[in-house]
Order: sequence, then structure tokens, then C-alpha cells
Amino acid sequence: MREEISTSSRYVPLRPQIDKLGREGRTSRAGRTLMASPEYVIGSVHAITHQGQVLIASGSGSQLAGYAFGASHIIWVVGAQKIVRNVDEGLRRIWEYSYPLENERMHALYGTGSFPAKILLVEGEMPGRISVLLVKEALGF
Amino acid sequence: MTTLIPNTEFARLASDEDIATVVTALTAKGMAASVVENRAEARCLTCCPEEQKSIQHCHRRLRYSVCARRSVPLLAMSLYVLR
Repeated sequence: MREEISTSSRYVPLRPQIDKLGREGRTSRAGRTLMASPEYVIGSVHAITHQGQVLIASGSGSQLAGYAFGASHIIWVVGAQKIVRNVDEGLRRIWEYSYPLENERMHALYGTGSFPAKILLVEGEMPGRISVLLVKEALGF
Repeated sequence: MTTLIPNTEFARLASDEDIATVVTALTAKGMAASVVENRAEARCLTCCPEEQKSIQHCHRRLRYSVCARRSVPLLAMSLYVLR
């Protein structure tokens, strides 16, 4: 999907621009601005409760500003293994399942771990901004 | 590096009934929600910009779409940003 978005003439993808900034550039004023307010953002979440609350954890929080307010449109693609009974269970899912796997992934990629330093809880949204696509398969963690 | 053991209790897929509960709850909270069977359908939906404004419409179209029959794996759900 990343390649499809990055190479399609139908999109102006931000990811290549962000990658070009490098790790330090991403925390510059320009980098923060670039990541905070895309027109569309496609991503995922770590847990959705039976009451419709959505939890997203992040080490840096780089995607959270867009999710909370900055992005005009959000599409979350969510595997059905991320459904939990309530917020407490959602937090447990983040710490007991997502965190170990993300930490391992980050170690493999960058040689340094990660932990859910910031957790966004979405309790509601004005209609039309957020679309959630639930997939009856395990996707991500 | 300390190895952390993931609690696989959280890797289990939710039932169809629980998925339906979540769709209703998300909708009540102002978030549009749709269900697809697999990653190929999800990939098709998220890569069709003309359909992004109406996922339900796109979902119906999938039955007739070439995209629906493709089985290209969905890449990891890291951040994809469009402008």
C-alpha cells in the first residue's frame, strides 16, 4: 500500500518528504508541521472498545496530532484482534501485547526500543472525519 | 535488550457479534465504520481515493471490482500520510 500511495499520480504523499527529513529533521519545526496536518491520513489503532472508544499509542506521538485534530480525513484500518471490552482492557492490550512487539520491531529496525509514551483516547468525533475499516483478519499489532 | 513476552490473549480475533457491536458504537460516536473480510478488500478501499468519501459505496462496488479479487498483502499499518 505504501508503494501504491507513494508512486501513484493521484496522491501527493507526505511519507517520502518525511523520510527525506531524516530522524533529526522530523523534530524540526518544518517536520512537525508536515506531519501534524495532512489532508488524509491512513493508519491504524491499537484497540477499539465495545463502546466505540479508540486507543492509539505512540512512542513519539508523531501521528497523534493528525489523528486528534490536524488531519482533515482519517482512515483507520483495524484488524479484528484489536477489539476489546473496555478502556482498561485496551490499555492492557497496549502494554501487554502491542508494546512488546513494537519494541522488538524498533530494535530490529533501529537498534533501539520504543514504549507507548503517549496514548490517545478518542471518545467521539464530528461525523465525516473518521472512517474505520474493520478487517476480519489479524492485521498489525 | 530485555525480551518482553506478548500476551497472546490479545491476538484473538473478535467474533462477528462483537464486530457488529463495535460498528454500532463507533457510528454512534460519529465515526463511520465498515467491515471487510480480508486485507485485499481493505487495501482496495483505502487506495481508491474517489471512494474514500463514501466507504459504504465503495464496499458495494467491491463485489464488481477487480481489486476485490486481488490478494496482494496489506503492508504493515504504519503511518501513511496523504495530502
